[in-house]
Formats: sequence, C-alpha cells, structure tokens
Amino acid sequence: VLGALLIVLAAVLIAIYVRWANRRYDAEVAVLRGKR
Amino acid sequence: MSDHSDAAIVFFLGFVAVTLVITYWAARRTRSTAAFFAAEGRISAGQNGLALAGDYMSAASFLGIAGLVATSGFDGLIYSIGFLVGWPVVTFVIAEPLRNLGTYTFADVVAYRLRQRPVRIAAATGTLVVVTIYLIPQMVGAGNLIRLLFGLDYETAVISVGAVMLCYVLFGGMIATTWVQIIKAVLLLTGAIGLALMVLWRFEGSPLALFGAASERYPGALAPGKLVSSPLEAVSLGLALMFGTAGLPHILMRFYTVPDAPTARRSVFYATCVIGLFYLVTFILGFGASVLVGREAIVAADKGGNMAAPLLALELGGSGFLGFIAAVAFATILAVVAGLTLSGAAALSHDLWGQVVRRGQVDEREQLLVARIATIGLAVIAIVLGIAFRGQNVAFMVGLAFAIAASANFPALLMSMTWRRFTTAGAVSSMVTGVVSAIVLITLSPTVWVDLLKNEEAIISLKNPGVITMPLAFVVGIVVSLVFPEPDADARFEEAEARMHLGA
Repeated sequence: VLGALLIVLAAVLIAIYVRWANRRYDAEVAVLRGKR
Repeated sequence: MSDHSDAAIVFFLGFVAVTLVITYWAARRTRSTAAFFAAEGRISAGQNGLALAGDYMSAASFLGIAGLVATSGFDGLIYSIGFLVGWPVVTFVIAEPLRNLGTYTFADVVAYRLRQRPVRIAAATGTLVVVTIYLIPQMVGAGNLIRLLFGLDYETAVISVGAVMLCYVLFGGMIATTWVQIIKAVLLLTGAIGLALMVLWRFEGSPLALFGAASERYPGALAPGKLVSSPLEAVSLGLALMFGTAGLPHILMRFYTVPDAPTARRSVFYATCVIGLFYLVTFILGFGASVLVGREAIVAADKGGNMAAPLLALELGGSGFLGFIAAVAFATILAVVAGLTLSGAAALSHDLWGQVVRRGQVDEREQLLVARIATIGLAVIAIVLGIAFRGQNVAFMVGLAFAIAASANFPALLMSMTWRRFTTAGAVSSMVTGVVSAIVLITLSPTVWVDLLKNEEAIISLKNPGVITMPLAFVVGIVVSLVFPEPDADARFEEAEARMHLGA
C-alpha cells in the first residue's frame, strides 16, 4: 500500500507543481521577458 | 504453429503495418534536421506525454517487473517505485531548463557555456554507452520473444527487429518514432489494464484479497528482503533508478519535440500519470501471476520470471489474449529501440560530427545525411550485439544503463545548469568518472564477476553501484572545477541562467 501511495504521491506532487507553474511562474516569467 | 502464435502474428503484423504507414506519412515531413531530431517542436503536451511513457515503459518494465513481483514478491516493487519516482526529479529540475537551453541533445545544455569540443565528446560518449548497453537487453529480449512465439530462428528475429526499427528512424525520424511510441503506450496500457481487470475479477475486484491470497500461497510474499537484502543495496538501486531517468538520453531528447518549456512541463505530468498507472497495474499483474499461474510454472518457463505476464494472459484470456500481449511486448521493444537509436544518431551527428568534427560549421543537408548514416550504423551494431549476446543473461544491463545515466549524465547536467563555477574540465572528468566507475564496479560485482564470469567470489559485494558512482561523479566534478577554474564559463552563467528560465 505504501508503494502504491508513493506512486500516487509522485503524480500529485507534479500536478501541484504544474498548476502552480501554469498560474504563477509563467506569469512572472512573462513579466520578466517583457522587461528584457 | 499454435493458436497464440497465429494471434500474435496477426496483432504484430497489424502493428507493423499501421506504424509503417505512419512512417511513410512522417517521411514526407522529415526534410530537415529539426524534423528528424525534434519533430520541428510541434508535438503537443498530451502527445509527448504518451510518447515519453512509450519511450520509458520498456519490455524490462512490462515483462521483467511483473516477473520479479511474481517470483520475489514485495521486493519486485522497488523497480516499479524507483522507475516512477524519478519523474518528479525530471519535472522539477530538468524538463524546462533543458527545453530552453538545448536544441537536440543534453550535450547542448552541458556545453552551453563551456568549451564545446571536450564536453561534446564526453557527453556523446556517455550517450552512446548508455544507448548501446540499453539496446542489448532489448534486442536479446526481442529475439527470444519472437523465437518463442513465432517460431522464427533467433538471428532472423533480431534482424527483423533491427530492420523494422531502421525503417521508422531512417525515414520517419522523430515524427514516426513519436507516433510509434504513442501507439505502443496506448496498446501497452490497454493490454496491462485489461489483464489486471481479469485478475481482479477473480478476486471480486479487491486488490487486498489478491495480496492476501498471494501471502497465503507464498508466506512472506508481502515482506521485504527477498530480492534486495541489504538496505545499502536498496538505496543504491533506488538512486540509480530515480536519477538515471533524468539522465537517459532518449528521454531527455523528447523535451525538444515540444514548442516551449510550459508544454514540456505539462507533458511530464501526462507521462507520470500514464507511467504511474502502468506501474500500479504491475503490482496486480505480478501478484496475480504468482497466485493464478504459480511461481513454479513461471520459473519453469523462464528462469528470470519474464514469462509471468504472458503466462497470466494465457491463463485468463486464452491463446488469443496471449497473442495480443505478446504482440504488445514486441511493439514495446520496437518503440524503445527506435527511441534509443534516434538519440544515439543525434549524439553522433549533432554532437560529434556537427560540433566536434565540423566545429559548428555544418549545413542541414550534411547533418541530416550523417544522421541517417549513423542510424544505419547503430541499427547494424544493435543487430550484431543482439546476436552476439544470444543466450547470455543480460538483465543486469538495464540496471547498468540506469547507473551510468545517473552517474555520468545527470551530475554533469545538473551542475552545468545550477553551479556557476562548474567548468569544462569538471564536466569532462565528472562524465568520464561516472561511465568508468559504473562499468568497473558492475564488472566486479556478483552480477558479472560471479554469475557471468563464473568466479567464486565477487570483489565488491554491492550489486548496484549508484550509491558510490553518483556521489563520486559529483565530487570529481566539483573538485576538478575548483582546482581548474574557468573565468569564461563563470562569466556566461547569468546569460545561461536567464535563457534557462526565460527561453530564447
């Protein structure tokens, strides 16, 4: 069960990161790109 | 010829026919190096996610892990988990910077602010060693599988695999290879999930009932210690599997096929979901095979346990379903071999010919020609090695490929992106140390020294060298960089960092 949880956790971690990056990180990058 | 052979032939020929039609379509679009190596960066996140999964889920995953779980119980799962948990590393550290800094190979990134020629030679060597070592078990596996199922002799089987793969890569380049991997990933997932559902059907849909039955039939099946007895060995294997993923050249190359870094990021998420689902299913397949087929029958069919999934398919779905699973396993090998060959051809054509021999002064036509010649050369090498290693136990080679990728490619890639004071000398010494130490330690380990070379006792007891070779590669890279500083590389760090985050 722990093994299965670890696999699910890996996907969940990536999902959280992708959501954050799509919303926040990309917006910040766009601002920085505009300043270049 | 048996029923399952007929079914396997029908499914397999269907797969080859469809993929060759795709190759013909792709060939008409493959007229530049950008198309040949990177599908012109036009692959979507969903497509690349499936293709990454197709590239990653090798026959070793499908046949090998199901077999290990069936014969060794709980410990077999270290492979499922180790292979999967490498993907967060790829997401957080590698995917986006790689897409922003490179063009076709990971050497583009390592060499970005360093001296091109020495770094390209070392990186291409690391790539070619990993590709060659990873190709051997795929070709041997394909030869054995076809011989067993289709009744062809081993040499003909290996040559057939090489010839079909050559068609994909030579004519269709990355576009055809991507679609072969997408189709293979869908087929593999469908077959594995179908088989798992059949297993669960026998246990009223409850995985816990299945695990209980496995534990009842083979007491201790759910306890650790059968396959990996020492904690150090477990950590070492885990390190190689986790960080090796982030250093496999054919996986890294896939990030150049998408238009930008956000798409690369999303594609890793899709890939992780597909691969995670697949590895969760291997739990069911492995324990299902041990209960429904029996360890004795699995080991009698193949000492390494690789026939666990096919025998389970025969038990639950009859000869027709076995034929389908066999064809899926074969398609799996073909797709992985195509991806490996393409990354090897990129290292030879882009890194060695384009940047080392021609010092960056190479036109499109010439580079494409060299890439195609390299593809033919690699296909011939794959066939020759597949035939040469006939009958050998080559299972350790997948672990060796991951150990080299984790020790030679990953440390250099990570340090080049994140450490300002990393130098050309540091990169080269780190990559050379990673390759040489991994090969030497594996050779001296029980896997090769005792099992293969038939010596009485191994010089080193550790079967997986990652826990030594990976830190060693980091230490050597750091020490050499500090001893031989490179002001030019230091000065270019800001530019590289900006490009890594903001893109070109």
